[in-house]
Amino acid sequence: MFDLFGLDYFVDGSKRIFWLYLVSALMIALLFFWKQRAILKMQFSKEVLWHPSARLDYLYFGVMGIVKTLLLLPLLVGVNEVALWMVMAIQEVFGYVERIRVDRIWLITGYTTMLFVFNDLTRYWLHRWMHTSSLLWRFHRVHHSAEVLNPMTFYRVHPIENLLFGFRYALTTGAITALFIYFFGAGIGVVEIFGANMIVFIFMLIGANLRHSHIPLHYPKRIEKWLISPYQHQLHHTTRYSRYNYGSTLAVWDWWFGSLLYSKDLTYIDEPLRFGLLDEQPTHSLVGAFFNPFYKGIKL
Amino acid sequence: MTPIKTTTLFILFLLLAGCSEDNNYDGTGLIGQVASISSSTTTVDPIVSLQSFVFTANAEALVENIQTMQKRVESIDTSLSEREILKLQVDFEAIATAWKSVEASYIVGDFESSLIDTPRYIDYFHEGKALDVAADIDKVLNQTGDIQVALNKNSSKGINALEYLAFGYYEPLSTLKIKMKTNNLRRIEVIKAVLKNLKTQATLIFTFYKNDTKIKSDVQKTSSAIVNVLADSAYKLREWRIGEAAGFVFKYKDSPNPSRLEYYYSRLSLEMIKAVIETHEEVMGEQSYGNFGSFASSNGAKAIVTKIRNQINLIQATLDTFSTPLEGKITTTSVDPKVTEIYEMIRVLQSLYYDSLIQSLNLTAEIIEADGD
Repeated sequence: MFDLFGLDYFVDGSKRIFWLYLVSALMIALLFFWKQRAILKMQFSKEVLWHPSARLDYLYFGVMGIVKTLLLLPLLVGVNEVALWMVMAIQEVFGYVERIRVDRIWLITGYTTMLFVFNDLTRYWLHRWMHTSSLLWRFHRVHHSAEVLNPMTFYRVHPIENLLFGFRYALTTGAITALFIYFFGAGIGVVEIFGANMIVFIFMLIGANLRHSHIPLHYPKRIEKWLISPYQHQLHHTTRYSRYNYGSTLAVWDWWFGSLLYSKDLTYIDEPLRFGLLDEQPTHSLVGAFFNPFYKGIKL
Repeated sequence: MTPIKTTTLFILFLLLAGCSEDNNYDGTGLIGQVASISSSTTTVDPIVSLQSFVFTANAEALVENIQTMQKRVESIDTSLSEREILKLQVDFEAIATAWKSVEASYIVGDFESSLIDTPRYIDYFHEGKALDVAADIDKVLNQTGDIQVALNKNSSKGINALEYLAFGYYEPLSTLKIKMKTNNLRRIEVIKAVLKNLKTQATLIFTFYKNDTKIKSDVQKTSSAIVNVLADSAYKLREWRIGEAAGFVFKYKDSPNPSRLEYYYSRLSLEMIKAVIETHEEVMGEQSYGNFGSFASSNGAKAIVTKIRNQINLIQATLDTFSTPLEGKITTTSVDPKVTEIYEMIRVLQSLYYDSLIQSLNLTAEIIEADGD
């Protein structure tokens, strides 16, 4: 039951809302905005935390726990199956190669890094595709219909999008794993902290949960070229700049593929960011969120 | 810095420091669970017995079999009989069988870099481009000078050369007798030179296994090395030793030719395949001694080990039903369905080794942590 409603997410280091990541986000917010009490007060105000949009986030999270367990898991392509199929296929097509012998520390570091980088890259492109394809946008707008942001908004994702991202993960991780096995053999492994890829863990710890919040934490411009700051992601959630900053962790994909927007570029904005959808006022209904994407023109 | 910032940073530091004890490094070998008990002295025993009963024993058998053949060739003179040639052929089969066992579980290169290439000084199957060992040996035999000088290619001193020297092109014993007596028993002298090289290389391997302590001390590395060698061995068995001859691989698609079999001259390819699979059984199967299969099985990988064992048994049972040499089951126009069957069975075995490796990586954690960004 604990798992069914997603409550295990709070104690699982591979999840965005792992308690440690929430605590670290809170502390970073306090650290940088202690003197700007209005910002902190707003984030923890009833208007934000008990907004109809936020209430849908909480409800959605609980219901999606059941949907994921009972409906999505059986449909997902397993990363193990993909990796196995790929390594056998690569070997049959390209033949045998003598295994490259490298020190285990480099092998594990390389594998951990490649998993992170290529997963981040494919997340960028699928996310961008969710915006540019009118069909996929129908499903992704469920996430963008949030008018206030809180860490649970991360899970406000339509099941179809869940399936697509699950498929993306299986393909990316399966391909990287297959290539590493093909070239390096059995010594590979992931450096994990609390069950999360070490690099992912670090990024989660340095305020990933502030991405879905009203805390405008941004980095210096030279860093925002490489790493997406929470504020850059908040800009992505605005009605005006949703075609920018598709990146999850690394900003280089946005930079290289022309969709990067720096926080500093918008310093003239002195009014609060407006989140949500431009073309309609969402109803924030659970049933609508699940079913309306299948019917064009119906409010979420 | 304000007190609140200092305090917050301090608490954040404590949180980070608190993570360190739980840091989980999940990079492991075959069966990932193995790594987590690498420090346990009681569970290391199967690796020790594997080293003793399989790795060292097979290498020792190889050295002994080479010595047996050496003794036989030393006693040969111009009165050489067909019976003696037959005994030489039996000696060759023993050497080749022992070598296949050593090769199928060769992990020395992972622990001693100077011995990475040792198998290449023994076996030239699938090594180099358009290597014609028989033609090279014929050149050596047709010369009259010093044999060591004439044997200038390493490939002429390997086990493939020895096969050709002992069997010719699978020629009758009467023909071989004439050839061996030609040029003042030069063929026998070449055999002596080849055996000398083989003994040198085999002794290096045996000495390593006998004296090594790294295999048992670094279980994680040993686990990786064993999975690598078993998966590679299964692949080579399937693709190189069966698939290429049967026309199952891309390169020779639908173009079978038995001359591509590994031991075509001696018609011993089937026996060598059996030797390889038997070695897999020694390493993974249920044995009276502890081995890698029992080690992994008792440490959380029982399900996959059982599958591997069943597959090995299935392959062995099928191989036992072959009534004629493999060379008789593959022609340029047809392939016996049993060859196809065994090819597919070995594919399954190989995929099970990879499957065990992939499972150990624990990659499923994030599968539905879909990305609501």
